[in-house]
Amino acid sequence: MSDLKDMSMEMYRQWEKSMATWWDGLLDDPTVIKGMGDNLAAQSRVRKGFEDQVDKTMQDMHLPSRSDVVRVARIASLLEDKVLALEDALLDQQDALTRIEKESLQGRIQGAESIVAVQERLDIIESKLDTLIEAVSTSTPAKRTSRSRSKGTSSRSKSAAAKKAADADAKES
Amino acid sequence: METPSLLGRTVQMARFLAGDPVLTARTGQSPHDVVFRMGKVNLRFFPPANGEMRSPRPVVISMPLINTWTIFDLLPGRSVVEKLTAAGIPVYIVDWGRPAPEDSERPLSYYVDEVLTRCFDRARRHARKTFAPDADTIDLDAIGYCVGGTFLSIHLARNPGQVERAAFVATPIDFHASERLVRWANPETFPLDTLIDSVGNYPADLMRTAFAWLKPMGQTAKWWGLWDRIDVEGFPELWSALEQWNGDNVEFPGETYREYVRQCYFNNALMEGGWTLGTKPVDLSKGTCPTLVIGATRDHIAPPAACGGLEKVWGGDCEVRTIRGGHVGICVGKTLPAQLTEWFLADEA
Repeated sequence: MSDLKDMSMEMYRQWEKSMATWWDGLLDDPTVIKGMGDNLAAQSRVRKGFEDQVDKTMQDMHLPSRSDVVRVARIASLLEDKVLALEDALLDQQDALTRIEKESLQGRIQGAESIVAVQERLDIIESKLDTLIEAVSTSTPAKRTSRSRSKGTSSRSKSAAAKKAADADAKES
Repeated sequence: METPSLLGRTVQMARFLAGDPVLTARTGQSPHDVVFRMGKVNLRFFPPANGEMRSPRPVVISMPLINTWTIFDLLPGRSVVEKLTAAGIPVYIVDWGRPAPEDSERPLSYYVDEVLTRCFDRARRHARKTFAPDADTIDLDAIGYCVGGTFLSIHLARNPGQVERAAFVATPIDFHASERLVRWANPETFPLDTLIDSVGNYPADLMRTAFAWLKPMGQTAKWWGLWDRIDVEGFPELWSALEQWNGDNVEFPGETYREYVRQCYFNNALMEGGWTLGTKPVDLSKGTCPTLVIGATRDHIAPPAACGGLEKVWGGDCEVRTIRGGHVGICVGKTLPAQLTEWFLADEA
């Protein structure tokens, strides 16, 4: 049975090969190609004639024709194009807003960081000012005493202020 | 398994055909979502296996306008999309849909400049949102098949930087190397203007007939092939799915077809230049991304010589490969997905 199958396969292959050669010759023949072109043109005209006739019949019957439906569909397509253009514009706006949002968030973070930095700097300046006040106080003992008394500053608090000023200097350096 | 007798084989084939397998074949089964619609066009998203992107970039596939997209997802185990997603590559397919009479006046620039631009934009947005929400943008790769590749090549040349890498599968560029098709589509004998002025869109049934006549013996060979391999597991199902796809041509929008045939077949303008599409000239030397060209040895629609034309005119690096098979057959084989996966994952390595 296998031999029979092989034999039929071989017969088919040979037939296919010879037929393919014959078709190749036919389908590449310029006369045949011209004939196919003419046939296609004639077929197209017949199709158009048929469609025109159907349209005319529909119009005569006061029913929407194919052309009417196509016209409406085309208007719908144009509307859709406009909606898509709007969607494009909206997406561009959305992109711009996202960009601005990111930038503003970045700005807020930078602002907060700046505030912290300024605060630290103010602390340092305040410490320095305290040191200066202390220095002024020591250079004028009379005033210092009276001021110390009036403010009730002890020698222990003075040494603490001096230490704070030294720390601030170290921090700044 | 016992080989059926000649009669047994014939009976088996008759039984198979009696079940109307071509009508009931289920193609395009890979899970996916439509993430963008534009007229008849759908942008279909196929998530990578396990939802995790393991490739450098997602891939956008431009399918041919003359058939349905399902040839890249024909059956489980015979699907380019399935293999790509299994390798962790997210896939977006540009499905052109079924153009109708109202689309007959759409020019080629509508598909190349408007539709593809929007599809790339929406794919990029969707991919960024899905796979890299913190990034400002995400890069893409692209695949073009057949006429879809021709459209894609023009688009990429007009928009350098749109993708990082591209692959063109059975994509005719040097149309004057298209053998029988270019002998038929010559300005002296092909009634292009009469056809489009009369019928609007190029009808799907004429398209089907034209392709069948390109290789008449293919019609007998397919029946003989079914008879011969009716007992091979999975073959009858593949045969039915291919038959369904082959018979499911769509109308080619008239004005697009007019410009496509005139510039590509009559003038061979992709190779020789002198084509202004919309307002801009078509110049493939402006394309910059690294490109892989895959031709099929037995392709009678886009022969390897027609595909290889891209290497001569493309501005970026271009690698040309040829794999065994026919124009459609390569899409259901194992070699094509393997080569595509390797090409798109190469950057990662």
